[in-house]
Amino acid sequence: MMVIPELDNTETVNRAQAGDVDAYGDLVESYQSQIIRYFFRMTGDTETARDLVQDTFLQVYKSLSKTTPDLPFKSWLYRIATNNVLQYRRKKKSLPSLRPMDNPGFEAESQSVNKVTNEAEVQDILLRIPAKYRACMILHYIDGFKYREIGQMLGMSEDAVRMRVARGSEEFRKRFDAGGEDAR
Amino acid sequence: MKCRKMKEKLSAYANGEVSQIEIEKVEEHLAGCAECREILEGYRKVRQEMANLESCPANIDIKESVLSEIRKKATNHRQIIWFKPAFAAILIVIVIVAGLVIWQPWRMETESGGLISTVKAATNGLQYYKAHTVHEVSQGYNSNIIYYEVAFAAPDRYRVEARDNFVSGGNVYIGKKIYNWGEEPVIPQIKMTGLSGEIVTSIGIPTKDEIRQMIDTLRDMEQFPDEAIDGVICLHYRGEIVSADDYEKKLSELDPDDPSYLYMKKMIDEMYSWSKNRKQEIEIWIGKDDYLPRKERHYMYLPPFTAQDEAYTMTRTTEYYDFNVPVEIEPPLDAEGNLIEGSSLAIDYELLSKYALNGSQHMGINIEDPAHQTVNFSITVTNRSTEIVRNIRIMVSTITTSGQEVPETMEAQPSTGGYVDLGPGESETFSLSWGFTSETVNNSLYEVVNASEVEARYIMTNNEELIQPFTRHTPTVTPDK
Repeated sequence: MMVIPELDNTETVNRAQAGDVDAYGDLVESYQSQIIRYFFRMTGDTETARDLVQDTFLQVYKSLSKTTPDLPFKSWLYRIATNNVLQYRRKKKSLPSLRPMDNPGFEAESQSVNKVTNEAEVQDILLRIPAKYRACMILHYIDGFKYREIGQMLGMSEDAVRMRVARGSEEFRKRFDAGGEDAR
Repeated sequence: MKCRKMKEKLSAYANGEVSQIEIEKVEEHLAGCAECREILEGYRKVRQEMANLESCPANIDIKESVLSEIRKKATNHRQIIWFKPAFAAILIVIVIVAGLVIWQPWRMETESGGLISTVKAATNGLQYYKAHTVHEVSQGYNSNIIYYEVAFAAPDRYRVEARDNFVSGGNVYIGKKIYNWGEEPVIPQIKMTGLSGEIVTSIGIPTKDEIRQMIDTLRDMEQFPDEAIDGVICLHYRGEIVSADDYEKKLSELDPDDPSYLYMKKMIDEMYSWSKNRKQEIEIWIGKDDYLPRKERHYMYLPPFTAQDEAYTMTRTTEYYDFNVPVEIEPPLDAEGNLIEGSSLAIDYELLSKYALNGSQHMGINIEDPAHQTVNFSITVTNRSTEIVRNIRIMVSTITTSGQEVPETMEAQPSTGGYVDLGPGESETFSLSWGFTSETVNNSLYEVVNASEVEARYIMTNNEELIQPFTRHTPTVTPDK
């Protein structure tokens, strides 16, 4: 999948803002896998992630025409995506499915036998962490964004991001140390 | 030193997100604190474990389906009715006059005292008219222009069509029914960040009372030279809206015994000091011969609430035409009386009349004691029917955003306990409180408000059990007089 570096996609963004659907397709292509992964790690469920990412990119297209040429597209996209996934989660009655490898269409990478934990267990723990902390943790640990970048994306201070990552990591550490009792 | 700040620093340190000065402080501390070294190891482990999740489910490519959806330009049947949110009263006190309701004559203090009564008389005799409005809003890089077309035949018979660059739709009001079609553009919301956290709200179509209230606060209108609008010579006035009285009034509406009083007062103080820099202007052109309005312009400027916000501006220009040219206002039905594709019956007041209760909701927050912060929710229901309504229960569904276990649906308690029966015209207030963590509701009060849903369950005289939803968008239905 082609990844368009941030600096170079201004022209594509501008064309998409003007209504060029193909240009928008390029944007979708360059950001969709990160956003899908983000949603999947937030919800633990591929179907949900797929639906959410589809809705998000549709919503983004609709709003794009109302934005100005200097729009910081990535930050803006992540803010909309984060709002969507946090709002979605609220409608769920219970924790989302905790066994991602059971979902069709999912292909897990095999883990080294030396690792004590596996992906399913880690995802399990992650899903038990409050959503707002979880979002910052995913963006930092998995997507590799710096705290300052995350702050810009989500409209909060760097300190607020630091606090959320710290508290989420604390929760994670506690459950992780408690071992398999919490994980199903 | 086992303070929370140190833990946060250690977490940031493990993630390479500390400044040079902080690095020195942390390493100095770690040299002498075994417990913190262990905690740091723990955070490093988190980092390691999270790396397990770098993989992504393969084979999900939504690009084509998104593009085909866009190209289809599907209209959806989502119903958007332009009712004001019920909670707007505690957030913003801003009123805009829309040209979309029966035009109200201005109370203008001018030298020719006969002007007012003449204008009144002219509009009283008015049956039909049309209007064309351009509504432009912007805040930072969020902006939109919406175009409205109105055809008016009577207070309960008119049509509004709206479009912007992307969507179009409309409502038609006929008697007790409101139909809609297409997708109406939504007026962009105003975002303000303040003491009370982030407030996001929108300015909707005002009620008649608000229009009257606003007219009362108009300063003397200044007269300008006559101007021709569409070939018609018009008197031309401009005035400014002042709302200094709001503060005292809003303050007097609070109950000092309510636990949320101090918090609400803080919000109002904040609002008021900011609102002094607001600007609201109205400009009108009135036909010199017939005293009918030809054009209106409303302008509003809201300064940024804090450094994190942008200024908000709105300009709304309406032109009136086709006075007393008969208009046909018809529901979107085909020859057999079925709804035309793409349209729906959004509200049927006759259907709504089966519900026995009117309700009003109020939410307050108490953040005075950081250890026991609560959201206080109260709903007052009134039996507007002519029969006794029994076993009234109020169920509330809501969310908190994180960190707090809240069951999805809770029951609000009446003031008197036990089941509630209400005779015609009687009221009862139900309340509910739940605790939250400081960083959740403060930052997202609007979201909690948005997500709360209230349901009344009760039994009618004929033993029929009804479940009546109360949402922010449910209009209050008054019985026919």
